[in-house]
Amino acid sequence: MIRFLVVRLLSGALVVWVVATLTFFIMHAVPGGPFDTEKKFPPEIKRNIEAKYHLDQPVSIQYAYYLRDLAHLRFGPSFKYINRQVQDILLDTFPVSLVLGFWALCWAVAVGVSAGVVSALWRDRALDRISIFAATLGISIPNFVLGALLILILSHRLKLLPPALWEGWRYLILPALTLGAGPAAYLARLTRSSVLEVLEKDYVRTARAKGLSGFTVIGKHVLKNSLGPVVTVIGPLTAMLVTGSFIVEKIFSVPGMGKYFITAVTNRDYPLVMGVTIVYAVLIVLMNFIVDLVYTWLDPRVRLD
Amino acid sequence: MTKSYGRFLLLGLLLCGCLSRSQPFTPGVLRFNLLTEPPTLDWSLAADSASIWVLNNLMEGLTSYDRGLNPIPALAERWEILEGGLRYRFHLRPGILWSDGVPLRARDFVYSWRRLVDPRTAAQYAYFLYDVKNARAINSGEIRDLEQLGVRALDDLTLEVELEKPIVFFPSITTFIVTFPLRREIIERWPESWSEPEHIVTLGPYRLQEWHHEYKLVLERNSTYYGPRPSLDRIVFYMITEASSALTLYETNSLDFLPQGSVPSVAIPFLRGSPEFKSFPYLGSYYYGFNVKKPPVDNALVRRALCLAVDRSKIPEILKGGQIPCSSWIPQGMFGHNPGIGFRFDPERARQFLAEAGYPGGRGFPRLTIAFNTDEGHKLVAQFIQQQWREHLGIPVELNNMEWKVYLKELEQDPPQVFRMGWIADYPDPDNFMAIFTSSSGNNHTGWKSREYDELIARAAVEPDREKRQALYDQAQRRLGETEIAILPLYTYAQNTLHKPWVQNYPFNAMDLVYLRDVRVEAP
Repeated sequence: MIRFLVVRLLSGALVVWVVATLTFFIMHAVPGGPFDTEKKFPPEIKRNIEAKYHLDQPVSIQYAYYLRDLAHLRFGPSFKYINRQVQDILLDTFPVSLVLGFWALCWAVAVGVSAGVVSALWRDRALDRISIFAATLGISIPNFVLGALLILILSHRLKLLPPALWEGWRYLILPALTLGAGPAAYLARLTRSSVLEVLEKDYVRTARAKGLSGFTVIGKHVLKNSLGPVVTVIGPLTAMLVTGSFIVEKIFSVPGMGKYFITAVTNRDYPLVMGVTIVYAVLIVLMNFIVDLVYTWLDPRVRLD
Repeated sequence: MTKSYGRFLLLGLLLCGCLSRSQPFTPGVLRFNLLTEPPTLDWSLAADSASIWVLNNLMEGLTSYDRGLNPIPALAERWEILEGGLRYRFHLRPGILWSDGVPLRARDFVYSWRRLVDPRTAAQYAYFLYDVKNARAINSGEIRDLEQLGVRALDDLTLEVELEKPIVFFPSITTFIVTFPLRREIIERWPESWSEPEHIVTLGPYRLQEWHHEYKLVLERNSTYYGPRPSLDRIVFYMITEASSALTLYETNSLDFLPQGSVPSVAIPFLRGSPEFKSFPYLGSYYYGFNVKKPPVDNALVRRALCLAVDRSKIPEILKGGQIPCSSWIPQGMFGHNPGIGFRFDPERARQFLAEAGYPGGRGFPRLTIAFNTDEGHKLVAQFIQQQWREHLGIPVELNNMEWKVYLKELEQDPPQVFRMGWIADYPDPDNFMAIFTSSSGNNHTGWKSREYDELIARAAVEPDREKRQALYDQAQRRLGETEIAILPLYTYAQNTLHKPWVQNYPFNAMDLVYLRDVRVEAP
């Protein structure tokens, strides 16, 4: 176990370093700089600004500064948000995305897995068809359309929920529903096919032949053994959901960090791009590690070492 | 994708007829869409509209604007113009207090201005003070002693400014946020966080109460404000970037005011006629620039033909945002505007000039590309111009769109044959528009350099007589857009806003300045 932890920690650190390095050099290779603006200012002002942020130094020196800061868990000052450190920006916005992503994930997993199981158990019957139809819709409808529909129906028509802003739990519902809809649909389809596959296994037939109740067969043998592919997906899905969504946060005016995946790049705010990329990379590594641990619980044949 | 969302939501809103009135307004509280997070509230470093909107309500300068955008006394109760305009002496109002009760002193301005031009501050708008003696030399590092800057406090209430040249619009410069005073001891105590609510000290009509980054800013009335009692108890600036979401919140009475940039363009045709909708000119102009060093637009006859072949009157139908077609560069609403300058639509003459240039009927015309940054509005304009030139001149035109920063880099390094650009006023003086096409300007991407034009602009900047000044700008505009033709002006921008009936006395103005001191929120 200890060996496993050490190996995973080292490999995780290596992955994060590779991602951080690649992102750093790709970002600097993209044409256009952070201080290229529509209204050009005189050259001496540009020189002053570049000196302030070390952009007048060779890229290799900038990379050294960047690694030094990273070693101290700092990402440096944002180029766009003056006098704000990137870690402060992320500390302000990540908790919001985390809360939203957590609730989106909860309902996506609860509804998606349940629908998948029900669909598989009642294969080719009305419930299955309804579930497949809903899942196909969930996957096909872009979240900006779903968000707009929810606002129109639940906010405008029925006046049940606020259309946007972030003032309390009622403001969480629409964005969480929108954010979780696609993953719920995907999980439903994945769970259905996985359960159907397990239902064909010999040990399920044996369990039934032994006279075990349907509930026990499903709960103890089918469900647990069919969750492997679902858990594999949930790992990166969690990282994706808790780091926010540009579209959903924009539609519902949620002050999360999802927007930075786009705006930091368009602003060429290198430190912020690095910050969000590294947070995402760390979460992916972490979630994959947790998935590996869950595998050992789901399937005792899997050994960590 | 978000545009698609906007259209979808708007369509739904209109179909449903859902102009609900679910939430009442709160008297004395204004909910205003700021659109985006202000990058900073350090007024030496602010350079964007969101920061400026907020700061103009937290702070004041030596001068301010009246509703006609004329500079009027603010922190300075009067000023003297000495030595033929080379020296300004500002007399501060006695008794002005910062929000912590400390009196305003002239040295607060001296500190602020020195900090602005200090190269270590790295302020984008340091060049606003370049007409002050030694400002540019200090900012570029040629002079290291900040005390050499031409500003000094004669006493606590008198500030004297020495200029490099007698520019006539200097009182407009002192309306701008970067010239506002600063408290040295506050900044030195909290250098990184002095502009956060717990530390910031201001002297405008409102004070900063809360800053929830990326979400909202809350201002409350400043009890130490020197002027008339501000009308609002609180201002809540929400940062809603998606225009359709802002409209939804407005329709559900969660917002009281949608400023310029916050009303979805797709909604404007449906909103016209509503008493809550207001559309009015903006001191900003949109143009197509020619790179006069690249064929075929290196030929003035070709440029003339291209200018004559565009029927600008169709642009408002295409963009639907209240844009005002214009043939001259200085925008409508600004001193110096002359609608008689520039080319009118005349396809017959356009074809003659093209034939004179060696391309009769467009035959043999080389490949011509219009470049623009990726945006739905710019694309519509480019497609329109492409169609106009194809239809009236018979020439093939290609379109090339680029991501914004890539586009800016292209303009800097290798400007395309024809490119789109715009300019929005920093101060309401024609110098701000005309100086961008001088030979030394970094904003002149056309490659066109004219010593005569440069001289006209330099003379106009210091000419106190309005008639003579107008004549100088007329001459310069003719060179720019009629005889030598570096640009094709297309339209003046419009501002489109929405305000609830209970938002009263809002000072709509052509510079999109948000002064909320006298705005009231009360039952109509």
